[in-house]
Amino acid sequence: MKKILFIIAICISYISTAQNLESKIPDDAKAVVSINGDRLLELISASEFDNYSFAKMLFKEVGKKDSTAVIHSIKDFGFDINSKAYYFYKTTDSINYHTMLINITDRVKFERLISERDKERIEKIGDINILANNSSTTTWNDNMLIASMGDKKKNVDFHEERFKPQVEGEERSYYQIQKEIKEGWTKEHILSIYNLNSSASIVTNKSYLASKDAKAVSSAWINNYGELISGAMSSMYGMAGMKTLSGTGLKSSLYGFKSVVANLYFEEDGMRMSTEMEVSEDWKKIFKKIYKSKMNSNFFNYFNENKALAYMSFSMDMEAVFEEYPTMMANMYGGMLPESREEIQVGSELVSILLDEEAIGELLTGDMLFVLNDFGEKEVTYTSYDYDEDYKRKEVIKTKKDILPDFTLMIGSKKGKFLTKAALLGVKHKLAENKAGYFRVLAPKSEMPFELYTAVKNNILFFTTSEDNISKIVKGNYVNNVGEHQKLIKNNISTFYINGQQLFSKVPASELSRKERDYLQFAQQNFTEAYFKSSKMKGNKMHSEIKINTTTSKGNSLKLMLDFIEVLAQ
Amino acid sequence: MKMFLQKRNRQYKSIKYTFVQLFSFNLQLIVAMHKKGIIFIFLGLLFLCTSCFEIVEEVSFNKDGSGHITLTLNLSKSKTKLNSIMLLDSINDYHVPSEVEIKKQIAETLNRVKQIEGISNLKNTINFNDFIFTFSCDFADTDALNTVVSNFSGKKEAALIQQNKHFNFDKSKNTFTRNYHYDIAKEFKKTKMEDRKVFETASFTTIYRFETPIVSSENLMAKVAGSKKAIMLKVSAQDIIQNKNSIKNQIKLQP
Repeated sequence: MKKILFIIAICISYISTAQNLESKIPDDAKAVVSINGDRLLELISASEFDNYSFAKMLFKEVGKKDSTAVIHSIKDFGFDINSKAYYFYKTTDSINYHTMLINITDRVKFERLISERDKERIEKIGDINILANNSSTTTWNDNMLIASMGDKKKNVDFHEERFKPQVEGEERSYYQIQKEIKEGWTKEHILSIYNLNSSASIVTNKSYLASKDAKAVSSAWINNYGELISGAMSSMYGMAGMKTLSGTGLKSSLYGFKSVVANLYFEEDGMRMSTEMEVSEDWKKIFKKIYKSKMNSNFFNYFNENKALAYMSFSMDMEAVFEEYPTMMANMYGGMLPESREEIQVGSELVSILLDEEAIGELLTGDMLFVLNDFGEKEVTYTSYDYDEDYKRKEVIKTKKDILPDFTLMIGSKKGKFLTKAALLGVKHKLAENKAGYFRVLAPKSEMPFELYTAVKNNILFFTTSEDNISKIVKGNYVNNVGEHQKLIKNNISTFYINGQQLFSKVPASELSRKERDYLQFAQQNFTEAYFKSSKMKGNKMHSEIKINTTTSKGNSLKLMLDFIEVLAQ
Repeated sequence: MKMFLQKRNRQYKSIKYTFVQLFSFNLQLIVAMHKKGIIFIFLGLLFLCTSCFEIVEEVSFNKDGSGHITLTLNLSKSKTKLNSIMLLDSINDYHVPSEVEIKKQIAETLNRVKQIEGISNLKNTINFNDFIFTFSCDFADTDALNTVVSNFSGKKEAALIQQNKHFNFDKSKNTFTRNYHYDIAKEFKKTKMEDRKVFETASFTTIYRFETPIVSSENLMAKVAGSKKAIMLKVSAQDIIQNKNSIKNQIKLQP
């Protein structure tokens, strides 16, 4: 039952809006997620949500349990769906707490969700009701619900010595004692939240306050990404894992990132998630150098948006990567293996001495653009059998049509002459065929079921499956049409773009089941395009964004997403 | 995580049984010999796409009931997809084995078959260019073949295999019987809809050769060669699944 309540609490939180629960989140919380119900209810009303079949299924499922509740609406859970709901993560040396806070408007309705058997187990402290089991503890009063799951760290076993004396002379096992202690800790943690003063809450944290965005339906804030990951590793692997990370206090900058903020938006024409990561001082300098370059404009001469179902771009300064390599290694592995710090430094600097960074930077500049042009039918061979009149079999080669991708890969290089010499060497060794100004890569069909052509032009090394494309590229008569994409690619370190409508139209429906065809049809009609972009650093922040553009047919993208879930659930 | 693993195990289990039952001895020999190994190695590949594949079972019998069997699993028609899939670690929750893993599993399986009494001259080929895998051996009698099948099945299954001999050459009655005890249609219904695509164009061919002429055959789809000493039966996986046909047959030979 507790699990169900916890799940409901999470579900409810998706359509809740704000009261001042925020001041109940302790200032040492490592991560906070908020669900902005105000915004959600602007996008979809409770009654509209109630009409979805998956919502009805959820209500029915809750009603089926041994509770006295009859659920017809999200409002019947008794939660304040007009208030903001929160999740926060807090950790100690022994336990991680995952805690949900939700406002309650109707305690009686909420209590109907609890089975008669569980009701008998409710403990009361003042006006607070407590229902605990070994996985979670749910508490509530007239105003709010606080549910918490205690997740014991592996290293808590180190306290065995502390617990063992309590077991001696008792029938309870060490594990039972440990379980009870965990429940006790969780209860204590929750009760401390009820009594928390706002001056000791997260609202005093400037980084957290700066991360809030009223337009977002959901926001997440992580105090220190490095610490969070280290903590997760400690939970998974125990102290042995932690020891390698803790030595020099570098764990907070281990991954180069400090605070992380993510916001989710549902807008009229699409859904968007933006992420901002604060980079530590050590890594800031490195990142600034590596990502200072912009993609070579020549790339756009060979980009045609009408022939791009999807693309992926990346732009960095390869010379800077190799120059910064020793520092990166020292930062990363020096922190993880403090006792080997000197060896790592000498080793990485030796590599740096041996490498000619400038030459590597000319061979591979660091610009890359991969374009998925099309999916086309190609004739491929396969082995089958024919049988003579006495049914002795004979191997025969037959042909069939397969759908294969057409793509173009562009890699920045200032060493065109060298690459051409290398290709000619390939011709000598029968690995390539010299065509007029370009080369056909010779590889067994089994290893490469498509034709592949390569050439170097305008400081770009091309690989493409289309002979027509490569021919036009080397002759200089390729017709480009870059549209809005030049801005997207040039202004960002990396991008990943999908033209949904075009891509979905290429999916062969005959290969799909009826259900998959329904999903595809919905996607084709409603999801127009999607992209991910990671922009250059501003100050000590790196910004990235994922956006799925949708049609406006449903009024807003949240309704459209819920409609899609409805299709998936059918 | 536990639920995920349980679900995954159930998937493997369900897939394993459907496949084993569908292709009876062949896959028991080629695939089901190692429960956790080859089964999902091949299935991991096969279930991922609308595949075209064929299995050919060729058996030449001597008068005394001994003989030679060659089994071929030909995935050549799906090689484009398989080549792409082999580049991945996993797809749709199925582990994609590397060439090394496949070779290792096959070698382990063959080692186990070698230990079976009455089995000799074991050979196999692995062709990753066309995705064709063959296995051949001599057998002293059909009991040896059935032992191979039962040896690599669970206790319950092994007992059923012994009861319903999948291969039976009755010298006294001059008959050869190809049989299996599985309810393939029932097992097939347990598989996920998306996994069923694998069987859309799959086929199973059996060719049996004898030293004496064939008098009759119970399976009306089987074709007797002009020499009367060979018989071929090609059945689509769809027909087996829909109970329209099967590879079961009883062949009567001249005394």
